Amino acid sequence: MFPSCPGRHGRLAVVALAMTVLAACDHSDPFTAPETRVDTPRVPGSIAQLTYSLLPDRSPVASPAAGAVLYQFETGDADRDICLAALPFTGGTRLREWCATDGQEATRADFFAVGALAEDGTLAYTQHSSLVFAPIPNAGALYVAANGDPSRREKVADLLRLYPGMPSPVDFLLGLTWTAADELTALATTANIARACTSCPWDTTYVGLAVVRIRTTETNQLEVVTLVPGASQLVFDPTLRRFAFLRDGDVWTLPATGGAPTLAYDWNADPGGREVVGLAAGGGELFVTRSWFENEVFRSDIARIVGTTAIAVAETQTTQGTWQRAAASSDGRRLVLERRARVGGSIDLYLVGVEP
Amino acid sequence: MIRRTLLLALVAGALPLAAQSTGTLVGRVVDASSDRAVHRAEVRLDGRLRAVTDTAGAYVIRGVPSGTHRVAVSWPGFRAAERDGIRIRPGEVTRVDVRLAPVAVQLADLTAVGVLDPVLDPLSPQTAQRITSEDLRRLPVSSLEDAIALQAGVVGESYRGGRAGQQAFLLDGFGVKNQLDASTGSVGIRIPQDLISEASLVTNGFSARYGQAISGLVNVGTRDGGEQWRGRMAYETDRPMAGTADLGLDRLVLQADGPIAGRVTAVGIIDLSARLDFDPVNAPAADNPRDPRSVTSRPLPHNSGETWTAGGKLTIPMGERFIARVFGLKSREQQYLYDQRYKYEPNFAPGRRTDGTLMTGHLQLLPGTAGTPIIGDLRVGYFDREFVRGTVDAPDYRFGAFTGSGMTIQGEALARARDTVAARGAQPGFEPPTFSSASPWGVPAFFLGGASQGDIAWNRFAELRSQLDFSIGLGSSTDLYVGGMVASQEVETFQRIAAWRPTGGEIPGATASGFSPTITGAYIEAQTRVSDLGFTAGVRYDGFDPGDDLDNRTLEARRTINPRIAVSTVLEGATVVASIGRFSQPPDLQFLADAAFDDTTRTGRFRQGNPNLGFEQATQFELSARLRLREATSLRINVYTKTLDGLVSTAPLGVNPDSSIFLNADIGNVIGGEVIFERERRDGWGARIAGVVQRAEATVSNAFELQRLIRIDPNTGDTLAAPARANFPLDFDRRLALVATVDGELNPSAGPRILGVRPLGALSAAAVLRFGTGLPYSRTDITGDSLAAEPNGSRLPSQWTMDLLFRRPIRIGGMDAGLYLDVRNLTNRRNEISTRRDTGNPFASEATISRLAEEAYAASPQAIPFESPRYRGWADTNGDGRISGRGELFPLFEAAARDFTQPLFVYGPPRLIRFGVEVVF
Repeated sequence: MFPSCPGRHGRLAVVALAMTVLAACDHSDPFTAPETRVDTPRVPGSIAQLTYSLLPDRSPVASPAAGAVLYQFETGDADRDICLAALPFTGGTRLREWCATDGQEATRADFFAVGALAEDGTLAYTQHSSLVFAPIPNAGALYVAANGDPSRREKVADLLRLYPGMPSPVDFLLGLTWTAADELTALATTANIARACTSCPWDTTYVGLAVVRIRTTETNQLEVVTLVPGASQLVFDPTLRRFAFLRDGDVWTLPATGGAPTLAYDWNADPGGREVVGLAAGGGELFVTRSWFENEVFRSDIARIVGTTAIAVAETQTTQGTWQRAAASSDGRRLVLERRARVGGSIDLYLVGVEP
Repeated sequence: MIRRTLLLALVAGALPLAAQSTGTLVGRVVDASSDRAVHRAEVRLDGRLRAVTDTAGAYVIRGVPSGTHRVAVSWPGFRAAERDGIRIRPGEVTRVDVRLAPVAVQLADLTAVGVLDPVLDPLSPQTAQRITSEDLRRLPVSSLEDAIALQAGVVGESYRGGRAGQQAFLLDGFGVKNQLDASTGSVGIRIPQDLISEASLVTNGFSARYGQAISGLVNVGTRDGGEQWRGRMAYETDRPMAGTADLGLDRLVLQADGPIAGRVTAVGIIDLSARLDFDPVNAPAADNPRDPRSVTSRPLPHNSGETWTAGGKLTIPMGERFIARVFGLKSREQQYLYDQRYKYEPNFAPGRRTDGTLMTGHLQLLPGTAGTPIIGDLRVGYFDREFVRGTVDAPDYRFGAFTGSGMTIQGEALARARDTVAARGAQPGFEPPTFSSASPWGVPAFFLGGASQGDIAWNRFAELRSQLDFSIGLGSSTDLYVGGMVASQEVETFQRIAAWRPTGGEIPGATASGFSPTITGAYIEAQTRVSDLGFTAGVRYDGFDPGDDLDNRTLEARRTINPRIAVSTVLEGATVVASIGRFSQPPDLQFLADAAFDDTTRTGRFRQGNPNLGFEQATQFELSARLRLREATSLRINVYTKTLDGLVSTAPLGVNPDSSIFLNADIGNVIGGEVIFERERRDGWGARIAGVVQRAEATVSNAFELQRLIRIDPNTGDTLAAPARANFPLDFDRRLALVATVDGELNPSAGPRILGVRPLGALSAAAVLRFGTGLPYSRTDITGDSLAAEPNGSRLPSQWTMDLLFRRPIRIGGMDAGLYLDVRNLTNRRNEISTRRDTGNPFASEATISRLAEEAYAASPQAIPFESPRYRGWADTNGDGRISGRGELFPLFEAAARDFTQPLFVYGPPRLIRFGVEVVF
């Protein structure tokens, strides 16, 4: 016996079911761009080279909220722009890049000196511009760009101008850090741009003026937290919510809420005369990079500040280059540092794992 | 009897075949017992007395709305006869002869129904190719455009070799035309299939009633609501197809019609369609395995589109002599446009949206039962079409390719404001695109990302049109048509390129225009019959005034007179028609206004509008013979020659190579012949074969092509060199075309019975075979900027496709339903619809690829370090953590160039398969 055909309602149900089945299928997806990004160093290890550019990669600054380090890189374009990039703290491919892209950018040299990413992806950054091949910037400002999108940027503060309470014009901001949803803290500096000889490259020396607090909801309002004349670097430790800065090779700390700086490390006390070059803070710890001349050889290492002394991090001493500016992950377990090669002088970023 | 019938038909066949929403009912009433005429018999149409028979027993009812009607005839002494389901077609004469049985004699009434043979009708001078609602249902077509493309002499929107946009569109007799950019844009409204009662394409001496066209008329009649509620719901998709055969189609159609109050009826329809690959191409998969299109050649990303159409119609009888109709239609088509430059970051590619609204009112005066028969039609309508293209957000799909929301174009508010001053600066929210780092090749070349191109194009065309037409019967052998129209138009345009940059230098200023043209028309036409000869003579006046607010100048109105004459006669089994007519159309209004960029040729050149453009004109002579071979077969042979004059072309303005102006400078000629064999659908099957041989040439191949033989002095406007009469093929000059359609239906008891069901029972199938020789194109040198041969001196390969439709009716719960399978391009033929003009085939030459790669490498020779998103480990052959030097970099640039130049849109669509389910209730 053949089964009887579905009845009136049965057939309707069959068609309804067929239509439902048809509609329930997913359509095929179009092709997408292949994934080419990696999130590990090219050659993993306790010390791993992160950047391989033939041009300098400089000034790593931790953006703890984004789990990334922001640094300067050069494009090699004719207008000699210096751009900003975010690199994961694990190394690998740059997460994002920010360069001047407006219609007139090819007529200028643009310099993105520093940036900081907030938890919501908002990017704070400074941009300076000069004529191509002219070393002195003629414009500069601090911007905030929602979602890291420069097309949505808003100017927060003009730079290259004198602010109340400052002994000199504020040319650059260093160590830019989000300390609240609408608040940035940075080291206001004045810049000395010069070269040693007519054929030498231009060199920029940042001379600290003050740690300043900047409300992103206002314009040109720089509040002086504390004056730090001569300071050269500013880093933030989110664990202890304190800043640290370098001045004359000494390391000072400063609560995020302000107050008097405290000397954390006196490099003059170092018996080996190791010069402190860079500073990093994270996970409640302070790290410094050092360089010195010993046994006819230049040496450099990374050290952890314990009490008032600096203890070398194992296996970081090198004669191949000089560890310079550094950034620490928020747990203090990873350091991203710029290292100038002894031969050739290239400057690249390295990742160094730090045991607790 | 035959002579009487013919005369009757001649009297009744007063209306031109084209462009009407009404038909004519004629017939003769005789005494069934004696075959003598019944005088003064009353003929009722749908219950209303509409005519009485004359002494010969003949009756005529003009102005019968297209659709299905009930005819009843009565007279004392006879039993009333009634016949339902009489189908009236727009512009046609339907004959219903009635034999009345005397009451005293017990004879059954006998009703004969027939349609006056449209093949032999001598009063049909037009070459009209008809598309019935049955055709739309039976053939593998999914739109009116698809169906029109099956007609002889049609290539896309070109008719008989003419340029796109030289046609007019008539909806229930109301003219609708996108006067702004008909040559490059769509009408803006879509007529859902289910709303169409019948359509026809007229390509020759169309009636003097109609202007604004020089190559053809598309005449659509929409259905009125029925006397009972009925409807259709259909859903079609290609979801069950896997992989590249699934192009992401979903379509839902819901239609219903019926009475709403008294004799007032309504029709409503919603037609929603979306496809992930809206414009699918049958391009070969990429060769390089690193190219993601080597695995997934379809669908293309960011190539989806959706169309939403909603329409309705109210038919309101007003007394015995008036019918009012109110019609509304709203369409939206929005599409994400795949751009090879944005292949790897497709969401920055542009999108476009076209919105169309049509509202019409139609008051029709029907003839009375006595006096001079007059049909009057007063039509008033408002048509609005808005187009915008530019930067869009990434689509947020809700179901299939449906987003459920209108596409928003960045900068649309600026465009609507037409504020060219505010548009001078860089526009907020726009960023310049950069070279994408997401391509498999990484190198900064060819492929863009990060931001859109920043173009904004917006225009709006609105028109308020009034038409008044009268058809007057003058005695038994002459009819007179007289009427006129006036349309007040409003045009607004805005264009801005690279909105991320201020204007100036390489970036031309934003252009905007706003003006209010007026077009007018008036006509008078007469048709008369003398024995077996039919004469049609008419003259049409057309006026076009650009308005006084264009370019701050008062411009002169342009006027033209267009006579049209046709003579026809019936010979032995054939009708021969000779017609000659002159046709005019105002130029596309886009040619009157400046443009910041040219979206057709993509030259990026500034283009200057010319407010002084006049009419484009054509004069066509045609000789046609229509033969009735056998009862169900016919043959039509048309030969024609058409002279084109004053077509718009582009002329250099002075010696500036980057500036040009539009002129009425093009002249040309089209000559051709058509043979159409048709077997009417009888005994379960029908067939049609249409063949066309033609040559269409002009001095310039299209409106955007530079007329290189003349130059205009920008100061005086003088022509600096006289044009030489050298003709080149027009863009749609298809020399030979063949379209064959066949459809058939099995009877319900056909085939074996399986599980109590006959799968083949009542199965219908239709096939369409299309063949066409290749269209012309111009060869250029390797730069693509200079012609290497005569304009349009080369030809694409021939094209052919085969389409199939299977439909199997089923019954569901007392309702008619059906399943269907629609297959286009069954053989998956890879038709080349365009080509690279430098190589003459779809592919770039090796020399071109090398040149592109070399230029790109020279522009960006920088090393690519490991941390860069452009780094590709497989290209770092020496493993030093950076791709550097020519040895490592150049192969990437070369692969990128090869990827970038791979052909896509030079190919027509692939095999398209859709499944459908429909329910009729």
